[in-house]
Amino acid sequence: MSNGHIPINEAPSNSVVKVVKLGSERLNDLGIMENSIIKVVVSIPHGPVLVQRDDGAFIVLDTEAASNTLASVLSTQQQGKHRYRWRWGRFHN
Amino acid sequence: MFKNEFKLRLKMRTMSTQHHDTIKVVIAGIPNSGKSTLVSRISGVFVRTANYPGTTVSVDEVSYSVGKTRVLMVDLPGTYSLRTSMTDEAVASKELLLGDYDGIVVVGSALNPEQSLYLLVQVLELGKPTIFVLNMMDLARRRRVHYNVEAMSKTLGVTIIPAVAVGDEGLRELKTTVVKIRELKTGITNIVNYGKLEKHISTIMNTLGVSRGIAVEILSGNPLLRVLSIKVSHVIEEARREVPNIDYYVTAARWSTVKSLVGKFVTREGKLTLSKYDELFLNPKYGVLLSLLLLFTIAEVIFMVLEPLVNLMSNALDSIPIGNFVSSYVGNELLSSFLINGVWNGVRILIDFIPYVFGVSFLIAFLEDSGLITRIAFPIERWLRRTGIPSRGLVYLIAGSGCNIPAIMATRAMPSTRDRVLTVLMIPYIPCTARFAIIALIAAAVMPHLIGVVVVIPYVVAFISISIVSRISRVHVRFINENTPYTYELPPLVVPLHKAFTKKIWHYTHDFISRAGVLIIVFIMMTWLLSVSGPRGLVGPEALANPSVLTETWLGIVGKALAPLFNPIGIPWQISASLVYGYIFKEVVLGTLALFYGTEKGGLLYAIGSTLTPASSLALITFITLYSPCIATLIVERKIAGLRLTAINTILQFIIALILAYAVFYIASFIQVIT
Repeated sequence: MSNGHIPINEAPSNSVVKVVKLGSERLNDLGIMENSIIKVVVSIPHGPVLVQRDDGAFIVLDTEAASNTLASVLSTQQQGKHRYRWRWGRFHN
Repeated sequence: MFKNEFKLRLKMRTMSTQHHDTIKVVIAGIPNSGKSTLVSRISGVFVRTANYPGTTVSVDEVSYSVGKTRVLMVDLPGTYSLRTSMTDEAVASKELLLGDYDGIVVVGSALNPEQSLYLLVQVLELGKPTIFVLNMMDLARRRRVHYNVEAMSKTLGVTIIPAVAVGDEGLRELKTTVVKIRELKTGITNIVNYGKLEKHISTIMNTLGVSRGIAVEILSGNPLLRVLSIKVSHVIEEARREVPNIDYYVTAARWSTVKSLVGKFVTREGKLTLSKYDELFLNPKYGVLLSLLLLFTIAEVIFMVLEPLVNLMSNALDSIPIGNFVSSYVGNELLSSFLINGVWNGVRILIDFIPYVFGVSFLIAFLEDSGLITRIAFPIERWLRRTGIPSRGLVYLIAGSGCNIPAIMATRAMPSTRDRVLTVLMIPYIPCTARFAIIALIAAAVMPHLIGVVVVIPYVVAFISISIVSRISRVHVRFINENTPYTYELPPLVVPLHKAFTKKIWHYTHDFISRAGVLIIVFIMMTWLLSVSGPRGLVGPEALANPSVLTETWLGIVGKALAPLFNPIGIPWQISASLVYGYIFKEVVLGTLALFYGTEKGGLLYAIGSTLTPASSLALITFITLYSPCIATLIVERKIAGLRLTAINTILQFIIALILAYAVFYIASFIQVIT
């Protein structure tokens, strides 16, 4: 946790982080490697984390994987208000 | 373990040599790519499910014929790569690396080209005829993900079939292509350039005579290939001097190739964002509440709808004059009792289970196929972790409140063996509807004005005991060497109401009948024998109608022997003896109680009400909630957790039930005194 490295589940939601140490070898197979830059979409302190890979895929890290994965925060974003259109059965942007 | 595996492989080999027209194809795919849906749509109705040798991992086998050719498809558990520490995924990797088959069908998700191609490039290196199915093309089109299938097929040297498994698209083409899989080319095996490792890969291939894929896996230290790696240890050491972290190097090279392939053949319009529904479920603040609310609502609706059906079926079975029919044809009283109370009772109990099996199967299949299960598990994982319950396990525990049996059977879909076994050991602590029937009767008899409060007690004690047992069980399941952190890709959120979904429910129900049905009937026949015989030999069927004779049977003796355990908490021997019959089926307890008290249902309420104090009734409710599931549950529990763990768990369950019953009795007595 030195050098500004924190467990990824302590990074704020909607922040962009650089992975410093992987908490699970499995992450390699999910395209997240050391030095990967990913977006922390939902972060639950001391809990699981939902991250987004650069290609857009969403990856869930359970509490253990998230707590053991160290990252450094590159930037944080204020979550803006979304303008969703509720269209049943469709994905919306 | 190895002996069994050897036998299976030998059987497969013999089969393939005996029937020259049988093609064996393995189906591999990333998790949530719709692989099982695809197999289910291709196969027709019947799917054969068996545990992979030496594991509790289920592998589905389906077969179909085209002309004179029979195709045998083995649906492997979903996996992201050929090297994994998770037991289920290791089954897929082992079969792909070491199995004996004619070709591979790789099912990828068109929504996730990177992950799908990552698995495909590894499979191609194995040098087997391969078909790549790009499933979920409809969702990909909707999300504006487009593929240049023709160019990608040419570059990779494989047949690529765009498909929509839930809507029949591409299925006919897949069926006809699979039949010709032996004639297909093997694809480009050296699509990934491993740079500095290439010469070592060639050396291993030449030394061992293995495929490029196996050579790469040996170099990167795949534990499944440890035996082979010993033979080329000097090559591996030499490679390590050049590339210290081979595993990382190989993964990085594969991902680099995948990204280049996606860049060439896939175009995306717009950026992928979380849907509004996802934001609701995954919200750290209110996601927990919403997830639990949704889970309970779906479960409640299903069981509410099912209740009239269960009653209707039960009444229909009651109206069958089986007793008169048997008595008119069978003169022997003992044989007649065997047919009515042994065989027919067994069949009846089995039929009684079916609506619950159907309901729980529907609930679990809906949560699994819609992608809700991962969303529900996400926000509550942190809380469940403290209690020791696996996050996905909660869904199966709640489903178990309908009936423990289908909930246990459905855990086969859980991706982690360790979590699956732990969940299976916890489910029997959840009070099912049958246990609730007895609990409600006791509550109505002793504390009718507090019935609403009393029925909450089973859930509270179940939660406490699950927290205790999860800690104890973790020690016992250490032998499952799988304590790895778990990561996965978030599956898309979809409405799963399609043909394959209904087939899945049917498959679960059929699986229950075929796997557990015969055993349930046999065990109930054995229990009948124990209830009509005792140390003096055969007591006769009158034991089932006469309380004084009943106490001379094996079951009666065990029941009476337990009485000293219950007398201190105010539970008379008639009730403790009746509880032994709960091992057969919980409803049998009510019948036995009526027999002991020599009364019908209305009178039974009065008899229990006048026998038990409020404190002893609460202790009894606690004990009934926990003491044991029925024989049918134990049978399915054993199938997944094994005999040793099931035996330990059943003994533990009885001990916890007794301790908590005493605790509840003394707390309730204390409260009664001070108020």
